[in-house]
Formats: sequence, structure tokens, C-alpha cells
Amino acid sequence: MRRFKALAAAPVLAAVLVAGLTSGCWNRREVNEVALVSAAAVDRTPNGQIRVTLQIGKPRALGGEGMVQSGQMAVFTVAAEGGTVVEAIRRLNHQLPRPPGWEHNNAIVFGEALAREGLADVLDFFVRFHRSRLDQWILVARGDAARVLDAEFELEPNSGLAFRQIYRNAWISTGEVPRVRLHEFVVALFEDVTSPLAAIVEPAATDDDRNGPPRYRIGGAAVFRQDRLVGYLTDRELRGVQWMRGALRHTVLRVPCQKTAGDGISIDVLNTVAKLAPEWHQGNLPAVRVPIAVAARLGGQMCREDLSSPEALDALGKRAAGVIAREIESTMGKLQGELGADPVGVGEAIYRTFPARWPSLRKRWDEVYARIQVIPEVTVTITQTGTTMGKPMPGGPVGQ
Amino acid sequence: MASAGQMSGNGQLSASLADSLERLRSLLDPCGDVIFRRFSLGSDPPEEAAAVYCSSVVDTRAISAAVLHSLMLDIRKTERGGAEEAEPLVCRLGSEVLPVSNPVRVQNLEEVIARILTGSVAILVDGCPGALVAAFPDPRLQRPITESKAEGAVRGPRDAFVEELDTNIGLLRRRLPIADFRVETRIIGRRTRTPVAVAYLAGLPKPGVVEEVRQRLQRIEIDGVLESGYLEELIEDHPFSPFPTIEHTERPDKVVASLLEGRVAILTGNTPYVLLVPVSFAQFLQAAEDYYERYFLANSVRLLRYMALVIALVLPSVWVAVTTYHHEMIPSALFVALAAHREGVPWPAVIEAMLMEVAFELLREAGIRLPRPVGQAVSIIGGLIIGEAAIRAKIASPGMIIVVAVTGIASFVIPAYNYAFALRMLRFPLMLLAATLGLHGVVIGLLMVFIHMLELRSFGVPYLAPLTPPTVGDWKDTLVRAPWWRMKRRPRMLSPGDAVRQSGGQKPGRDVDS
Repeated sequence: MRRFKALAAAPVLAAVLVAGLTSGCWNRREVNEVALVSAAAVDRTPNGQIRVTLQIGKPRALGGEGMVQSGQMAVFTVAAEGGTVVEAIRRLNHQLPRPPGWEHNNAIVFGEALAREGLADVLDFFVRFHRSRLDQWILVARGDAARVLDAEFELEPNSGLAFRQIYRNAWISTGEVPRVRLHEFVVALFEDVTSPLAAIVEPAATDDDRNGPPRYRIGGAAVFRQDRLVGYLTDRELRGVQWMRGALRHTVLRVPCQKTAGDGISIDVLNTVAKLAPEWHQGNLPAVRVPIAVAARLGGQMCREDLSSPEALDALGKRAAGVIAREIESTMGKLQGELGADPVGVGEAIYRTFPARWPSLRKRWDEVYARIQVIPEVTVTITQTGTTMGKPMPGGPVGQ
Repeated sequence: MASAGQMSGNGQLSASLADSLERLRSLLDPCGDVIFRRFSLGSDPPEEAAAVYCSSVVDTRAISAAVLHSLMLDIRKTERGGAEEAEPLVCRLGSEVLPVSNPVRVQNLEEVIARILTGSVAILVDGCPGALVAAFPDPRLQRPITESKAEGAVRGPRDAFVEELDTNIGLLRRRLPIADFRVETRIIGRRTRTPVAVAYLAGLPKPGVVEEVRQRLQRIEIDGVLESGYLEELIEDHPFSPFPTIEHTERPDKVVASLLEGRVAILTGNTPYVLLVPVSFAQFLQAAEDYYERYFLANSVRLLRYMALVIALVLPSVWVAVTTYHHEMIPSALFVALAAHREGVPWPAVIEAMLMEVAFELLREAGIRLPRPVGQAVSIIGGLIIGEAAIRAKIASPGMIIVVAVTGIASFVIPAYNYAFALRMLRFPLMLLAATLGLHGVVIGLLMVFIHMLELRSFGVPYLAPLTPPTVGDWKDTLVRAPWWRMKRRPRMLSPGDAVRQSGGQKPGRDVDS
């Protein structure tokens, strides 16, 4: 009986041994045997090739014992061209002593020219390749993408890491940046008429009096139709989309002063819940109601209004709702008119609500989309006034 | 024992002193430490007598005072005209003259010799058949009861078992002064003649367990038993398993707690370690103190131990797997730091891990064997070499040192040394699997360990009980330790008979529930 048991265990042990020995440490890569990619840029060269530029971290300088010395970048960039993305990336290995490790890549920046041609074919590699993660941020550079990688950010050792941090920081402060990683971008591509967005990286306006490499900022959105770049939304226009997608956590809303002179009241938005509710009435076109519930607090007022009563706050909420509705209308005007793109997912919402009627609508979607009525129904609830009451600071005249 | 029957023909001591002494002398004289003290009884008329004892194991002063003094001087006070007695007084020394607790008259030569050599004095009187035997064990051979070295506790009884079996049984008896506490003693070891006691509380162990213990001990035919480990290896269920299926302890309180749960204790003479059966794996992760401290503390500590169990088993292999195969699982910042620290380390992570683990095991082993002052030197040198020099010399990366150190410390958290050792050994094959197959390898290895553990039994109790087969009622004292007022029943897997341990409704405080 015992002997039998030992025999029964033998094949299992043998299988494990064979699996271990024959695989021969397949795909084994030590952490110090990869060239750590912290950002990647993909461009179309004037002669029609694909150029891939990688920002590679230098481990010693990045985290090691040696401090990053002033003026010394902890990264370097390498670039290679090829007929396809894969070819270009493989050619990089002629300049790199270690294979690139994509696992910790922060962002992929696409050049404007390439984006206008369409990104689907380029993205195929990044979705297919097993070392490439779906959480890489997607950025579109105005102009050449490779140039952007040289941007310098004092607080972070390299631009790749900085892009990721700026994304996060901007999103929790103004919300005027689309949270689009490779995953979200590809999901939007797979939806029938939804337009993907990607954040824009562009030179910051305050660049003139500085020496050295230019500063860059991330904000606004590049708007795609299918996979082709068709235009841009400014920061504020992007916020119109964000309201409808319920994607805003924090942002600051300016409400103009009423009755008094002043620069306006800042409302600090805390949370947004939105829903697309398509309706199909008698007519031959659906309309989309967008109920949006915004929770907010009083961020600051430069108006000298007395906001200490709940009634005053309610009234302010109504005014804020109006501001939001106007933002949405202006954004939708641009999207439905000039751009003809649907990043909000209006078409997708209609399809999901009326799947049977969608095919006929889909056929003439490009023409129909511009005429679909999008009705924002915004309610703003102001629940907090901060550490002071809603009353204005003493001093100037109180308007009435 | 076997030879007693063969010698029965001439194995009895006769009434003739000269003859008896001659026979004893022929057998015991070569020993070198056996004293044959001839003297005359102080009786009237004086009788020739002799005391035979082994001077190295008896208390000679006590013999002088209690035996020789009584027989040569005090006997006169007892003497009455004794013609009417059936036996002469000299043959009734045990009941009337000797002030010792338990004198026995033995006629069997073998037994007399056995008793002389285990610390008794044999008194032979001319004209009386056999020898009067009384035990005078030498107190110099008994170590005082001291604190447990291997199983310390902040709160709890301090006494630990000693080498003397009677003392050990006494430590248990003091905690269980009831007739239900049964002790069955036997002799094991042809040459060492080690006394071995099986102790249990009548009615509590699962039916058949006590009998099983008896039978397994009965089977043993060995010339020497120097430690309970001899018995453990001869009676355990799975001799090829790395996991121990018998627990040992030197804490009497732990033994009594186990007896109360329905386990059986096997006490071995000349060693402070007592074996406990049956056991399950969870038992090895419990310390006596779990039950003395408030359950809040006990539960947190238990949680910590289970974490330590996982860490000690898999941390190095998971580390190797993740750093060589699954880079995406490491946070980016850490990855960068690791890459920088590993810069210049010439070998793969698994070799690095093996080197450091072996170095750690070397240090640990050196620390155990060396005398204490030297041990400190070892830890200083080892700490310096491993901690500092190995990193500078690029033999290992700091991350790996941390992993090895945490693993080592985690394995020390597990209360049972032999169990922790099993885990420590298992992590080496796991590391190899991690190095060849990544996390898949680790999972395969762990599955094999689990399947093996599922197969284990300890005296009829599944090793993973009560987790599987699931006995929900017993979970109260496995991963957690329920408060005492909740532990109404004994573990069913150990003691299905007398299940109720205490009555309910003992939760203190105002909202007493029934």
C-alpha cells in the first residue's frame, strides 16, 4: 500500500521536474536586465516610416544610491524607425544593451500627424504585446511626439513619470483632462460610434522667459472619429463632456456675481453623477435627457453676497446649474457641429436603450447626430460653506 | 525482561545470606559502583545481614540514617519476645523496623538487580528468603524544576519538565488531582530500560486512541531510548513526511491542556520532552500563552502567526518569481529601486536567494550550538557580513536581504521549532519552482504541499482538521481563539465522547446571554 502511494506520487514529481527543467527559465528576466521604459512616443516620419522613441530610465540615477545630480537627466531617449511599430521597436535593440521592459511604461505619446492618419493599426501592437499593460496613459502631442519626451519636470526624474502624476493631479483639481488609458481608448474604439478622447500635451504658455527645455502641460482633449484625430477641445470645452459622463470628481465652477460687482463665486465641485436617458417621442429622432446631480461646496466668493442661509445656497445652486448647462450646450454644439464626434457616448446610449431601432439610425448616423437634442438637467446641491459661514468678509460695501 | 523467564530455575534468592550475596556479587561486582555492606542486626540474637546498593545512584546518607541506623540500633526498641510470631522479626523489618515509605520484599534475582541499579537498596538477612528493597534515589541526580528554555511565555506557569519521570508525572498530578488522570508506565529499551508513561484523562480521548498508543509502544524493540524523539520516530504515522505528526512540549500546563482536550501524553524518562498525540497542523501554531492572555490579544497574535506561516513558506519564492517573471506586479517606484540595487549583482535572483538563505541557515544553526558568549560573536559577524558586506560586494541586493531576514524572523514566530523547520526546508524547492516556472511554479508547489498535508493523519485525526474535513464547531480554536466563555465544547475531532466542557451563559457583564 505504501509502495503504491510512492509510485502514485512519482508521475506528479516527474511532471513538475520536466516542466521546470525543460522550460529552462523561459522568459526569465532579472530586474536589472531590462531597459526600463518610462515613456514612449510614436511618430510618422516625413518619409512615411514609423518612428518609435523610448525614454529609458537609468537605474543608478533613478532610484539607486547615487543621487540624481543637478542638470543630469535620469533618463535618456533612443529612437528607431521602421516600416511597422514592431519593426521599429525591434531595431531599438541595436542601440540598447538590454531589451526594453514595457511593464512600467507610464505613457504613450502619439504625434499629431500619426493621430490624424488613425491610431488603430498602431495600437494593435500595444494591445497585443504581453509585456505592454493596458494602464498606459494615451497622450497626443501637438506636432512631434518625440520632442515631448525631452520635457523637464523638476519634481519628477523623467517626463514619463511626470505625465502620469500630472494626469492625476490635474484630474483631482480641475477635471479638465480626460482619464484615458490604453484600456479606455480601446474600449471606446470598440463601441460603434463613440469617439475616443486623448489628453493633449503641449508647450505651456508660460514658457517664454525660461532657459532650457520647454515646459509642457497636459489638458484639454484630442477628439477622434473612429481612430482618426479630427480636432481638439479646450480645457473648458472638455469639461462639458466630463459633466455628462459623470467623470468629474473635483473641479471649480465660476458663477458670475448677481446684483453686486465682483469676480464671481467659485463653487468647488465634490462629485458628479450623470446618466444619459434617451427618449424617443413621436418624432423620428431620439432626444437624450442628461440628468446630472452635482454635489458641491462653496469654494470662495469674490462677490460679497450673503450666502449664509440655505435658501441663498439653493439659489446659488440653481445659478450654478445654469452655468453647467450652458457649458454643456456649448460643448455639444462643437461636437455635433464642427467635429461630428461623440465622445459622450450619446449613440451608444441610444443603441442600448433602443437596440431594435438602432440599425436604421446607424445608417444615417453622421447626418442624424448633429440634430439629436441633448437636454442637460442639472441640479447642484451646495452642502458646505467651508470653515466660515456663507457671509462675505467684512470691509467693502454689501450690494443691494 | 525476556531473560527473567529463562533464569526462573535459579532466579530466586534463597534464605541463605552467603548464598544470596554470592550470587549478587558474581553479577554486580564487575559494575564497580555496587556496595556490599555486611553488618549485624542489632537484634537479639544478632543476625547477619547485608545491604546491597549502587553507590552512584542512591542517597548514601539517607541509607545510613534510615536503614543502617534502624537496623543496627533502633531495632532493639522494637524487639519483643517474638517466639509466638509466625515469622521472626528479622523477616518483618519492612513493616516494623524500617522507617521508609515503600519497602518491598523481592525474591526474583533479576528484579532485585534491576532495582539495585535504579536506586534502591536491597537488605538481605540471613534466614529470610529474598531481599527487602527500598528506593533511595540520589537527589544529586535530579535537576531542579526550572523555567522552560524553549517555550517561554510572558504570562503563564514557569515550571517545566525535568529529566526525572516521577517528577514529571508529579507536575501533571499536581494540576490534575483526580482519579480520572491515568498513568500507565512501562519500560522501553533493552539496555537503557527507560520508563515510559502514557497519560490521559479517562473517558476523554477518542475511542481507540489510547489503545493505539499502547500498541505502537508495545511494538518497539530497541536497545536504548535516550529521548522522546526515539519514540516519536518509531510511532509516528508518516515517517517520510516533512511535517511532524506528533507534538512535543516541555510545559506541563500545555500537556494538561492537551489532556483536557482529549489528547494522550507520552512521557519518557530522562528527558523533559513529552509527546502529545493526536495533533493537527493548527496545534503547532498555538502557544500556551494564547489561552492565558485575553482573547483579544490571543487572536491578534494568532493572526500574526498565520501571516508568519505564509511568509516563512512562500516569501522568498514569490519574490524570486515576481522579480524574474512578473515585473508588472511590482510597483513602478519599487521596480526602479530594485533595478538600481541589483545593478552589478552577477547572478539570477534565485541564486542570490539560495545563497542568502543558506547563509542565514548557517548562522542560525551556529547560534544554536555555540556557547552563548561565542554565539553573540557569530551574530555580529554574520549580521555584518550578510547585512553590509554582501551588499557592497554585490553578492546580494538589499531587497533580497530584507526578504531573507523577514522570512527568517517569520519562521521564528512559529512556536513549534520542528514545524517551523519543515516550512523552512520546503521553501527551497519552492524557490527552485519559482525560478523555473514563476508564480505558476509557486502555486504548483503549494498545491503539492497542500495535497500532501491532506493525506496526513495523526493517530486517526486528519492533519488539517478541523479545517478539512470541516468541523465548524472546532473552528473556535483554530484560526481564532474564542473567549473562554464561548468554548463550551471540547474539540469534536479529538474527544467526541464527553463533549461538554463547561456550562453556557458564563459570559460576564450585564447582558448575560443564555
